[in-house]
Amino acid sequence: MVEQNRELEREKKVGANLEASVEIVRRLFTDTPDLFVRRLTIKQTGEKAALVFLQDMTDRASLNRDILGPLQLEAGSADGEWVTNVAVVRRESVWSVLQEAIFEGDTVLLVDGRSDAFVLDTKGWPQRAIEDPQQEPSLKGAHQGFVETASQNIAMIRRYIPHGQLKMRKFKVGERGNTNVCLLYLQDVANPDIVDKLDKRIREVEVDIIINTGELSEFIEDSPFALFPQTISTERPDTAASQILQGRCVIVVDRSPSVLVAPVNFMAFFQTVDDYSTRWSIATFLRLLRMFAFFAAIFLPGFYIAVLSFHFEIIPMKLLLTLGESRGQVPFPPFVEALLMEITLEMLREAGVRLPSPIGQTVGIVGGIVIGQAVVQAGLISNIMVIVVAFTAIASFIMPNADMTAAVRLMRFFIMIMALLFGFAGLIVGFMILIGRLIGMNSVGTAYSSPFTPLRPSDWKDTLVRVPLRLMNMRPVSNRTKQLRRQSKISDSRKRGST
Amino acid sequence: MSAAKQPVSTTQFISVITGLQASVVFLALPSNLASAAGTDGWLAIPIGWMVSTVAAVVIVRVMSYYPQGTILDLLQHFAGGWASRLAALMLAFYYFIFAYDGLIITLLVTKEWLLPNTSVFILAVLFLAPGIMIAQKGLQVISRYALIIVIMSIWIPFVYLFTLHDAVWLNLLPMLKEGWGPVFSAVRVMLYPALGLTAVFFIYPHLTNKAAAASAIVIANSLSHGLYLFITFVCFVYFSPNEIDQFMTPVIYIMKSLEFNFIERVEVPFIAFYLLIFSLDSIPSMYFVSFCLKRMINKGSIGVYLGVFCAAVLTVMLVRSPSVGHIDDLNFIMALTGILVEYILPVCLLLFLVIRNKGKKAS
Amino acid sequence: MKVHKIIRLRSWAVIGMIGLLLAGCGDRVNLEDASLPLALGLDLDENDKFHFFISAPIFSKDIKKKTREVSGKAESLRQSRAKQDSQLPGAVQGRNYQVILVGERMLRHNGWFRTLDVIFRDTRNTVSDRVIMVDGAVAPVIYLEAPDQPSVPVFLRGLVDSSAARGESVKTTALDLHRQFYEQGMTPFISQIGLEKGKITMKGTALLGKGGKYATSLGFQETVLLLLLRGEVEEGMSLSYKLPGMEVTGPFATDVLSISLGKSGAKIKTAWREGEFHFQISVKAKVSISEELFRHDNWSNDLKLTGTIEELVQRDIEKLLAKFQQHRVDPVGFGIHARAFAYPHFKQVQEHWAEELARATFDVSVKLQIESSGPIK
Repeated sequence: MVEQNRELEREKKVGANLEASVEIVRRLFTDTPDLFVRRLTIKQTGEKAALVFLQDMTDRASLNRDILGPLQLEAGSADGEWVTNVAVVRRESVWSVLQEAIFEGDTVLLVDGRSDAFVLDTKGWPQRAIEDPQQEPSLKGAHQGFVETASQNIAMIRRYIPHGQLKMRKFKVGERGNTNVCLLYLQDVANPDIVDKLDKRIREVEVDIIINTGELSEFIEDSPFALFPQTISTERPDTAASQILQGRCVIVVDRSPSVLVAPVNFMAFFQTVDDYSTRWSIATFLRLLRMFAFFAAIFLPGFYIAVLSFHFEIIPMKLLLTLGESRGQVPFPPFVEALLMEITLEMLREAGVRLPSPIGQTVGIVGGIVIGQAVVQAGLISNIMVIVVAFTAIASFIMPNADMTAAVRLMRFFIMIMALLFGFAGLIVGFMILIGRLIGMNSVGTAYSSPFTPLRPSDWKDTLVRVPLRLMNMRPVSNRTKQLRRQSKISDSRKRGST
Repeated sequence: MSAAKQPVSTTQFISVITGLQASVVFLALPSNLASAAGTDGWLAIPIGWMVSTVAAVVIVRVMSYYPQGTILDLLQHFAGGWASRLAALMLAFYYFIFAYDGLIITLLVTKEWLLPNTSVFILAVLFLAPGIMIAQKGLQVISRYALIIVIMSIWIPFVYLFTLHDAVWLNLLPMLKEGWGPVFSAVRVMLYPALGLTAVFFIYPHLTNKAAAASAIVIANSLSHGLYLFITFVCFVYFSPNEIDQFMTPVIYIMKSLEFNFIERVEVPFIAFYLLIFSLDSIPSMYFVSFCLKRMINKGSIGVYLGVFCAAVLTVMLVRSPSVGHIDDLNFIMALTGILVEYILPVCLLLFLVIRNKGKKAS
Repeated sequence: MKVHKIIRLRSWAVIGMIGLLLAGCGDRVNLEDASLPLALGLDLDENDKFHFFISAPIFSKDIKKKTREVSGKAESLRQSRAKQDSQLPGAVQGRNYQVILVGERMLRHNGWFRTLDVIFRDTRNTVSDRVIMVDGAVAPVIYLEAPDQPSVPVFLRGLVDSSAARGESVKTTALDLHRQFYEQGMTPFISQIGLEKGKITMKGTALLGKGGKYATSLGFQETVLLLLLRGEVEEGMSLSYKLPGMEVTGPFATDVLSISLGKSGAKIKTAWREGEFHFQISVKAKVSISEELFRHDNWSNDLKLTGTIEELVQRDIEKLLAKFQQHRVDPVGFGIHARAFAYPHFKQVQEHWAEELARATFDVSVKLQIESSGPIK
C-alpha cells in the first residue's frame, strides 16, 4: 500500500505549497539519514525556500558558497529574480525526476509559491585522482587513465578529439542503477548502421544495475557464450580516441573506469598504443611477436603432449636422448604432467592478483622458480615440461588484452585434451575448431576475422606489421567506415621537397 | 534472399574452387600420370586444363541466366519444380560421393601416417565434428575458411623446392618418347582432379562481383592445374620413372627425403597440416549435400541435414570399411558422375537456355 | 530458445568427447615407454641364414651402457619384429634407423634389396637411413662398444656424412638406394666401412651390380672422381697426384701435388654410332693447389702445369671408366643420359644396360683452371 502510494506520488508534480512539498520529500526519502532539508529565506525575493540534497553526493563547498551564500546574502537582480552562482540550473516539476536528480548529487530548490522546482548542479561524489592505468601501462603514451566519472572520462576523450563530429548518444541503463551510458563516435567516419545497432542493443538491456563495463559488454555482444571477446575494454583515453578515429564506437559507462570499444576484429586485440609512438620496425617486430605468442600459448603444451605421446619419431636425435632420459624419471604421462603444471601456474597467477603488489611479484617469481626447481628435483615433472609451461606463461602475458589472455588460457586446455586424445590429428582438429569459431564470429555486424577473411590487404598495413605512419592514410576498411581517407597531408608536403 | 546476407568475395570464391579441386587429389596424381604415360604424363595436365576451363566458363555462363539464385532456383524458374528436384537429387548424390571420397582419403592418410592403431570410425567422428561446425554456418563462413586455409598454405610449395637438390632433370627427357598416344590416354587421369567446378552452381548468387566470376573461375582452375604441374614435375625429377608407380602417394613420400637439423621424419607435421587442406574438400561438399536435401524436403535447418549426412557417412563406413581399393572404386564412380554433372549437364543446360532465349526473342 | 540449443549442443559435445576418451587410443605410447631402434644390420651367417641386428638407445640415467643390442634369425625383417619386441623393453613403435648395415656375405647374392621392403612400406620408418656395406660381418660392428665414442648408430651416421662431405665416400640413403635399384639407367653404390683393431674406419665406396651383388670398391680418390662425373662434387674435395718428371728426394714423396676442387662439373654428351653408345665427357673444374711437396719456381709455367694435371686427371677418369666397364656397373648413370638423348636405342637394351655400357666408348677431356695456390708461393 505504502509502495503504491509512493509510486503514485512520484508521478505527481510539485505543488506551490512549500510545506506540502517538504512533506512529500520526507515521504519519498524514508530511512535516508543522509538527506538534508535546509530551509531558508531567499533574500532577493523574500520567498521561503528549502534546499534538498544528499549530504555526501554534493559538493558542499559549492553548495555553501554558490547557492546558500548568494540566496541568503546577496541583493537580487533588477528583474526581481533570485540568482545563484551555479552554472547549470534546470526547472523540473515531476517528483520522479527530482528524486533522480537528488540521487545524482544535485540540489533541489523548492520555493514556496512556485509550482516548479529548481535543480542545481552540485554534483560532487567521492572520486579518485587521475592515475596511470594499472593494467595497460605504456612506455611513451600518456599516463592518464579513465576514472569512475563518466563526464570526466568523456572530457579526457574530448581532449584528443576536439572536433565537432565527435557525437554522443546518452542512455540510462538499469532499473535501479540508472547508470549513465554514453556512446561516442565520429559522425562522418563511423558507419551509421553500426552506431544504430549499438544504440538499439544498449536500449534493450533490461537489468537491475550495471556495475561494471564488463557486464554491459556481455549484454551487447553478438555471441556472449563465445570464448573470445568481441569488444575491447580499455582504461586509456588515448587508446579510446585512437579507436574512435579508426571508425569504431566507444561506450563510456558511468562509475566504471573501463570503456568499451566496438566493433572490433581479431587483430585489434594485438595492437597497443605504443605501437604508433615507437619506431615502425620495432613495432612490426612486436606485433609479429604477439601473434606468435598467441599461437605458442595455445598450442605449445598440446604440441609437447602430442609429440611425446604419439609422434616422438620426429624428435631430432640429439634431443631424443636427453628428452628420453628426463622423461624416464617421471612417473606421470605427459598429459598429467602438463595438466599439473598448468593448473599450478594458473593458481599462482590467480593468487598473484590478490596479493598486494610487492609481495605479489615476489611470490610469483619465487614461487615459480622454487616450485619449478623442487618439482624437477623430486622427479615429479621433467625439466622440459617446466620450460614449456614457463614459455607458455610468458607468451600469454605478452598479449595486451586481458580478455584475450583469458580466452587463450582456456583454449589451451582444450587443445591439450585434443592432443592427448589424438596427437597431431587432434591438434589440427582443435585448430580447425578454433579457426571455425573465429571466422564465424561477428562483432556488431563486422567480421571478426577481418582483415584476413574477407581479404582486405590494405588493412594489413596495421595488423601483423606496422608500416610507417606516412603510408597509413586510410582508415581500416574492416570497420566499414564512411570516410576512408584520413586527413593527414604529411606525405604530400614531404613530396613537395624540403631541405 | 538469404544469399545477399552472405556475400562471398572473389578471392574467397577462388579459394573454395581451388580447394575443392586440388585438396585431396594432389597426393597421388604423379603416380597416376606416370602409370598412364610415363614421364610424359605431365603433358596431360595442360590438355586437361584446357578442357576444364571450357567447362568452367560454360558453367558460369549458365548461371548468369539467373544470377539471383542457385542452379536449383534456375531450373525451377526455367524448367519447373520437377527439374529442380531432379537436379537436387543428382547433385546431392554427386556431392555426397565427393565428400565421402575426400573424407575417406583424409581418414586413410591419417590412419596410415599419424594414428595407425585408431579405428577409422573414431577418426571419422573426429573429422566430421569441425566440418559440421563450419558447414552449418553457411557459405560465407565456408568461403572465409577456405581463404584462410589457402593463405596459410602458400608456403608449402616452397618446401618442395628443397627436394630439387637431388633432382634428376634428365628424367623428363626425351619428351614424347612414345608419341602423343599415351599422353592422350593420360588425360582421363586428369578428369578427376578437375572436378569441383560445379560449386559455382551454389555459390554464384552469393558472389559480390558476378561480372568477374568467369575470370575468377578460370584463375581458380589455373591455380589448381598449376599446382598439379608443379608437384608432377617435382616428383618426376626426383623419382626414377622406373620406381614412381610403386609409390601410392609420392607427394608425401618425397617429403621423407628432406632432412633438417631440428626435426626427423619431416612428413609427419606436414601430413598434419595437409589435414587442414583436405578439409577444403569435404566441408563445402557437405554443405552442398545438405543444401540440396533441404531444398528437396523443405523443412528444418541446414544443421539437421548435416546430421543426416554424417549419419549416412558413418553408415556407409560401417557397411563397407574404408580401404584403399575402395578409393579406386569411388574415383571411378566420381569420374563417371563427374563427366555427367560437370561437363555434360552444363553444356546441355547452356544449349537449353540459349535455345529458349532465342525462342523468346523470336516470339 | 537459441540459448538452450547452444547449451544442449555443447553438452552433447562434451559427452561425446568423454566417450571418445574412454574409447581410448591405441596409438598413445609415451616416449619413455617406447624403444626407438636406431640402427639395423642385415647379414647372412656361415649357413647363409638371414640374421638381423638392432641397436636401440636406453633412456635411463642409471645404466652406463648407452645402447641395447638385439639380434636373431628370422625369415624376413617384418617377422623379426616379434623377436625384436621380445628383447627390447617397451613397445617398439617406429624405427628411426640412422644407418642400415649390410654384411659382406649378404652382398654376395642378388636380390637382397627386397628384404628392406618393410622399411618403405611401413610409414613409421625413416628412409633417410644411410646404407653402409660392412667389409666383413655385421655383428662385431653392431656390438662394438667404444667408451670414447658415441653410440654406434650416431657415430656411423656422423662418419658417413662427414666422409661424404669430403668425398672419401658417398652418402646413400635408403630412398636413394631404392631409386638406384629401380632405375634402369644406373647401378647402385653405397658407403663401405671396415672394422680394424676395434675401430670403425671408412673404406670408400662399394659398387653393386644391378641385382645388388657386390661388384667392386672405389678408394677415396676414385670416389671423388665418381662424384665429379655425377656432378655432385662439393667444394673442398681433393685429388692428389704424383707428377711425372719430378725428383724424389729421400723417403719423402716430393713429387706429390694436391688440388682442391672448387666449382666443378662434367658435361656428358651422348651419341649412338654404329651400334654402340658413345659418351663424350668434358670435365671443367676450378681448382686450387692445396699441397705441393716440390719446389716450383713460379706459376708463369701455369699452362704447362695445368696441362700436366689435366692429363693426369683424364687418365685417372679413363681408368675409372674402364673399371666400371670391367665390372659391369654404371654408378654414374650414363644410362639416364642414354635414355634422355638416344631413347629408341636405350629402350632396346634397357634390361641389361650395364652390359651395354661395357661396350660403349668414352671420350674424356678435362679442363682445369687453377685459381689459387694458397697464401704461400
